Amino acid sequence: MEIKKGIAVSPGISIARSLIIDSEDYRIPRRQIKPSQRMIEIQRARNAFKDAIGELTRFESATDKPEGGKIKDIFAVHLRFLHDRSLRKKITDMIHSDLVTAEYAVSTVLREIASHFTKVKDAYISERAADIYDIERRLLTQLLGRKRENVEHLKNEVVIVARELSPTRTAGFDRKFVKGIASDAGGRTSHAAIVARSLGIPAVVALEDLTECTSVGDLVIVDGNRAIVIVNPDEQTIRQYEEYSKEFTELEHRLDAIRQKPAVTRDGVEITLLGNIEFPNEAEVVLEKGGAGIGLYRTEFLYLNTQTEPTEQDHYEAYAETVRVFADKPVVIRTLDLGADKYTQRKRFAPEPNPFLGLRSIRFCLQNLMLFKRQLRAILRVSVLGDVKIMFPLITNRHELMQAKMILHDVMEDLDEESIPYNRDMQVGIMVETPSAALTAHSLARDVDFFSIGTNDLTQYTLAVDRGNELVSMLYSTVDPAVLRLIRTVIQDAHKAQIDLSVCGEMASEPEYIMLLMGMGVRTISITSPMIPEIKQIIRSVTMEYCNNVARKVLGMDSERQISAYLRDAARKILPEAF
Amino acid sequence: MKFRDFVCFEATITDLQANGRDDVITQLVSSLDKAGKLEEGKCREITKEVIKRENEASTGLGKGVAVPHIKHKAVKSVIASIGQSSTGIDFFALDKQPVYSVILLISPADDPDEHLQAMESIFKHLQQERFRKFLRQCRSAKQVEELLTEADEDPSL
Repeated sequence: MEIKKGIAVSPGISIARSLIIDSEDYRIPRRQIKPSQRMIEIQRARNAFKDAIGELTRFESATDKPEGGKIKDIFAVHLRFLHDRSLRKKITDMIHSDLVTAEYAVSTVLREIASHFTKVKDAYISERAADIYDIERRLLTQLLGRKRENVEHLKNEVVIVARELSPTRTAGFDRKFVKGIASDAGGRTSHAAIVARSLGIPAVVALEDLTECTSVGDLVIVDGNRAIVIVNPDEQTIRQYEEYSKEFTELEHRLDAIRQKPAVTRDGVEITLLGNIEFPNEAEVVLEKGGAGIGLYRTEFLYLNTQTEPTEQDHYEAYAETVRVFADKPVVIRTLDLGADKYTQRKRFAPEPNPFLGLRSIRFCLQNLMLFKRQLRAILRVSVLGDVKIMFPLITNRHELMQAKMILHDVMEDLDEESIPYNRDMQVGIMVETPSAALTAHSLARDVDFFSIGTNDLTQYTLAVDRGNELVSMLYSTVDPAVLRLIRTVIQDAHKAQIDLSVCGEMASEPEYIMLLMGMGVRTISITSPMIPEIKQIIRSVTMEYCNNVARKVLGMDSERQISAYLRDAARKILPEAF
Repeated sequence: MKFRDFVCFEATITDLQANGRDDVITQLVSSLDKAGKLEEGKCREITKEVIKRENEASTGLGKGVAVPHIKHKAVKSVIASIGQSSTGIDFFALDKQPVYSVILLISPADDPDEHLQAMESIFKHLQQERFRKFLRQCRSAKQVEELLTEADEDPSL
């Protein structure tokens, strides 16, 4: 039994066999073979070794340049491993005794060896684990050829174990079979985490070397509440977790009961609870969980899932599907917020040296007006189907806002000329997610109908911390006094200008922070749908007077630690079972 | 699309002596008309429409720049004229900041994409603080032409 501690990014508990997918997406299912197939599988394993050796020898002789010396050494090491009889015997023995396929035996045996290597304190030896993985991949390529099984055709419940997961991959998971997610890398606000949360799959990330201590088919417990992953748990632990899991389900059911009740504090202040979504099919989930609309409809998926640029009709259909679900309830569509990723970077001759401060999001759109226009046209066209609002991301100054609004107006004129109907009074808002926007909120407020505070980016840009970088992620905190001061400024400026204000960052879905936000004057929040019931329960069990008190106290504090500790205590008093 | 490709330098007015926003628009449109860039007899109609568009939503982009524009069938391809004012013009923008550089843009009615391409080029340059500063310092049509030529070649300007 091995217990690993990581960062919990999506709540819930799951117990299932592991399915390891590495960056090359091999899926090695544990498939039982008949005794009569033993010899065939053993022969396959032997052939794979032979072919891998042949391939490596060819590579080795091809690299005879002097600078190829290092690579040659590596190949020599790999070859020595492949020539090792005891290794081959281990694999064939396993096929023989456990009745498993060649690829399963290769993967299991080599991972076991690799995990021995990683446990050695000596850095030189522990780094050899990477070589073992390389050999594993080489053998698997021989065994599986180019054929890659993907996780879309699962038949059993699994826990996905991976080094790193992309949001697109995560979004492709079938909720019916993927019961848990555990990865070596990642952070609380990485996009894959956001997707896992919105799909309601328990997930723990930043487990560092989990893939190295897990073999395919191991029983794995993912505890998304306590940020723990347990590999090969003992009987007692399994029983304990089955109990936890039951309790958690009961809590969920209890929360179910309040789904259709209003989000009103005990002293009668109403809070509007909206959902954040990434894909059109999540819209239903928001309704199920009791959300009163969509406060943030991210539209990047349209660009990330395809090789070609989406057409206006692609945009339109995706938006229309969501808007129809919500009828007259608000749906806030955020325009393209790409950047720092493949889509914008692959068009460049050289990648930007600092993409997070580069040509991304609204900046990218304003320099690619044709692409921007297609999206604006689609949003305007769906505006007649319901209460659609448009929101521009990453605004840093009024100049950008005016440019975006001007183009929106031009696109409206085009539609007028083509006699295509749209809502002329569609509300226009911006994300306030940069310190510059927060500090000039009073001026930006004059030209928009609403603000939505994006606390993730606001925190990242204010504290100069990359939220996905584990080396510095401990410096990332949305309740840092600096961030809170900016948030307060934005709220006050929105109130003064009498425009709507919401918070759509992850901060709003943290049970610990919700009272603070309410006390600071926030009346609309937009959060990932699985969190709606829990946040609603907190809202229903507090008074605004208490929240105001919490906010007053916190705004007087000058250290992040003090604030976090205070907020955790305050929340524990309200909702003990959530902590 | 390059910036200088659609600017009519002949129609540049570097010392706008104008009485407010509408006057600036009138002068820039008739300047284009005099340069023979508009279909004959459409000058007044275009002026009226630009002002109407401006009343719907100000094109004052902030940072001392405005880009009044319309689409009109009186032009076959995108055409722009640039005006400079050293004293500043009130463009009725919500931020109440005066406008020093005005880029008037007339796009053909049947090609919205061409309009956007021109706008993209304008945005790209106006984004640069140095470009805005240099533009304000231009004292003759020739200087404006030189600046735009240079800017087209060096996007960092």
